Amino acid sequence: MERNYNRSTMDLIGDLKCGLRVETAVVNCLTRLTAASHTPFNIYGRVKILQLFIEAITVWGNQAGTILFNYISTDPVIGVRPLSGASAAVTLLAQGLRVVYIGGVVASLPVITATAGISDVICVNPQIVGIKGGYGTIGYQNTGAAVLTGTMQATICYAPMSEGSYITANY
Amino acid sequence: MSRNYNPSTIDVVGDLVNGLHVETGVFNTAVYWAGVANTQEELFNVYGRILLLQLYIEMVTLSGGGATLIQFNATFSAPAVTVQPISAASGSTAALLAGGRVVWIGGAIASVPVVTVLIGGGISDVIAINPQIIGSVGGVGTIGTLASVANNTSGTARGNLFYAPLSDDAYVTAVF
Repeated sequence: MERNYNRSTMDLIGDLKCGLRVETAVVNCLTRLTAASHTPFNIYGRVKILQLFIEAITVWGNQAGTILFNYISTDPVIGVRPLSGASAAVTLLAQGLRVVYIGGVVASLPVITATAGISDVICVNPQIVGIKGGYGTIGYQNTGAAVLTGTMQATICYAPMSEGSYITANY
Repeated sequence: MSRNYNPSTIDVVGDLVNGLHVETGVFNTAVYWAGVANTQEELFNVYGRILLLQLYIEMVTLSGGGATLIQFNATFSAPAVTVQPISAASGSTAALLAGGRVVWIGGAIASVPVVTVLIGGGISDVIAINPQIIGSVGGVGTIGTLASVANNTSGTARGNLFYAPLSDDAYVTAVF
């Protein structure tokens, strides 16, 4: 037995269960996994981050990048703050593998489950991020080696926690 | 005071609270749970990426003898991934009453599914509270079970899965 729902209804159920989902485009690691901070998401107001991960769409290069997730408040100006510790190395991350933010205390390390398509440790302890009426970005920093090949996509699922709050993708 | 809802409305509330529900047809556990041969059976097709919320097998009729252990797993054809566990192996399913369940509890892959064997069945006191993310963008795969240790001798059961889509156009169907 399966529900015979319209696609839009299924997507709405996804939003209700997982949080509002925002995805970046599929981008090259060469440009978006340099050894620097990157800002895939704009955050307006205050949100609860329910899920946040980066998925390898094609296999990544043979470089030992390490990824931590972070938040930068532009208004008010606070500067970059980590949301997590740095992951294990993402060397040759295969298609379908994910670097998964697990929430909880900011020292928590993102988890990379070793099998494509399976993430057994995900965010079950959300964080509240952002400031009422404020603006900033949610992103990540590659604290290791720049990744030179492969493609990726970042996904965030959130629930608004202040009036008018929302998230958009930067690319 | 109880709500005077149409059954379809009640079902939608269930979907909103529990996730989208997919159920298999009834299967013969003597066929699907041939543990000596480590029988692998696929229960659900997965398209795209989903948040797996609940997964269990419920006995329709009594499970006969045979201390079969059940492990839940996932296999993907795109990208190609051979069968991978999403749980450890359960405890014995011998003499599991009608209404008894083998319950995937989510969390780390090493987590052991709980086989609740209670008089009269129908109660699962340990269920999944830590979902897993299964599948990938544009991917195709299946969720199934691996039987081990002993052959189940008789009984029928049904698989149940509850999920939320986590990529565009993601969905799950029953294999049978």
